[in-house]
Amino acid sequence: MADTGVPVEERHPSTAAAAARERFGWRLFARPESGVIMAAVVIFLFFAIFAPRFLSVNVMSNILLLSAELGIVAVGVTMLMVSGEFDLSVGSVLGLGAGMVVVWLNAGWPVPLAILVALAVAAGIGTLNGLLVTRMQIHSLIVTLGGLMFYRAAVLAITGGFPIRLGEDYPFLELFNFWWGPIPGTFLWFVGFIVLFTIIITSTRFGNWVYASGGGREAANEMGVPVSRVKVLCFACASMLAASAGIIQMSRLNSVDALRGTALELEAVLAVVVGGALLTGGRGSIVGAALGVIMVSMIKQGLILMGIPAFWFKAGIGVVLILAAYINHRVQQATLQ
Amino acid sequence: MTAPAPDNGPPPRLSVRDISKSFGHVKALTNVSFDVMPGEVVGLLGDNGAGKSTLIKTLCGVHKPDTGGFVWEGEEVIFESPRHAMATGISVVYQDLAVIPILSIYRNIFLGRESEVCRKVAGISFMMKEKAKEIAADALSGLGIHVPDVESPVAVLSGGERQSISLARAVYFQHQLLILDEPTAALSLKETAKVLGYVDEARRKGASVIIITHNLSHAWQVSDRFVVLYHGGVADTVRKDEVDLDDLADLINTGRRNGERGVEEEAAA
Repeated sequence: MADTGVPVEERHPSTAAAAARERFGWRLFARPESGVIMAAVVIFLFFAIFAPRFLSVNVMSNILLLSAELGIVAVGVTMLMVSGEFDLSVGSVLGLGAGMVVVWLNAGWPVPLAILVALAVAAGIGTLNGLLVTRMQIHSLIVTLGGLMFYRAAVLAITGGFPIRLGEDYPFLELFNFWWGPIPGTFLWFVGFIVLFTIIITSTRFGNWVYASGGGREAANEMGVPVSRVKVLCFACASMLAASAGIIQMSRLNSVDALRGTALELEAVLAVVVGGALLTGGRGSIVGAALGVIMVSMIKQGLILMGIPAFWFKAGIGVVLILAAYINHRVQQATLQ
Repeated sequence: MTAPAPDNGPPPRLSVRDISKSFGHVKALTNVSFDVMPGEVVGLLGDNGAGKSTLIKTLCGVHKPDTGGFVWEGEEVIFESPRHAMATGISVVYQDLAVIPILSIYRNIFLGRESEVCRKVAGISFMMKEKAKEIAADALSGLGIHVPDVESPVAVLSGGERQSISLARAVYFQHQLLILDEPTAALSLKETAKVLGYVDEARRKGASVIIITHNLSHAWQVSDRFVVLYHGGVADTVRKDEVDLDDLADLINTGRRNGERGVEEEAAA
């Protein structure tokens, strides 16, 4: 284009404004969260109309409560998926985190120590996952599928297959299990993690590396991004957040059982994909994943209130997942052309 | 060691010393040595498979040489990683461009150089995104490259524009050695002239440049000296005033200048 030295806006004021408007609309449309926001609103309105008592404070509190623990897991899974990797072991690690803390508390350990050691073990598990993926070049689906089995077996071993209750009340655990009016404390922890990890992933150097590692491994490496280290750290975050969710859930239920967290990994992947993340990495949003989680909880609650048998929940979620993946794919194609 | 005769000139910015590199049974590089002086543009020439890409990848830390090493401004060094090479003062425009289509233009420009726009709070490097966008826009317009919006993904750009992004980030940031791997491959005539202009400018500012290209006339326009690779070894190192384009073409195709006997023939004689 010939440069006349006249700013574009002065030459064609109307087209410049239209272009700016279009760009604004395009950016809104291109955000990974845009699909899930629309979907969440539609589902909310649907149940508000058709599910009795959906709009009551009790039901809303319950949705928040249901969302919190899955949501904390989903925050870590989002980070990891943006970096281009999967973790199927988060459900088992959630159970293991809760199991370790219950067993150690019943053995007389101080609460903060039990929690810190459990988180350290989780960090170790995540680091091991990451090293197996980056050093041994085994696909993360395989590594963490192995992890899913292995750590579930560990939970079974330490619980003996039976539910274990905490032997006494621990005031320290009120830190995780409290209510702020109608809002469960666990949800506030969830919000805390959303804010923290959104800042990390969107506004730090490490966040840029996470997106780059998932978006183009070779290019990132050529430009000096320590891709393997970034991925290992994301695996460690995912495992630690899963264990945190387990510990928070344990403080609410005062117990652990051998099946705690089963199938949660798939619900987390579902929420993250519905929230706008690409399975191939480089794109995704923690806020989107959080909305995905809340959407899943709304569907769970809403169907119960409508008296629809629980198995339809899975059918509905399945349909939503495929729809969301399709929409994401189209949005991505549209914005990348 | 056939060290250059000691004179009072500055030491080479980079000496490549006896680099060899194999992949399995394939010998990609055999005892490659040459120097790059400050403010000098070296044209690295060679046919496909001559070892140019492998050599470049050892220079920028992607591959480690099996034997041999580098001397950077008088100090021996092996580039452990691209990060290390970059921190030493080497900027690279890769043939594959090393841009990430799904990421925004400004994030691509600061890829691996985030520290230039980071503020450390409690040990964590926060990117100052507004400043990063401003600098990215400046860097691009300073090179006469116009993009609608530095927040759009690189995927919306044409091949030539992507090449410009890759070049802009290499020349914008402080560096002592600029390596350009086929920088004119996807460019129009006008864009090519611009790229060769940047090479001149980098030299004027005292930077050294290694330019790899298939296009002999592009190499001829900007280079002071040529290093010709042939079958993984250095066929010859020549100053521009010692040769003409035909000699270079002969060197590339046969490993020797016209009228000279090749290495293999000499061994056979």
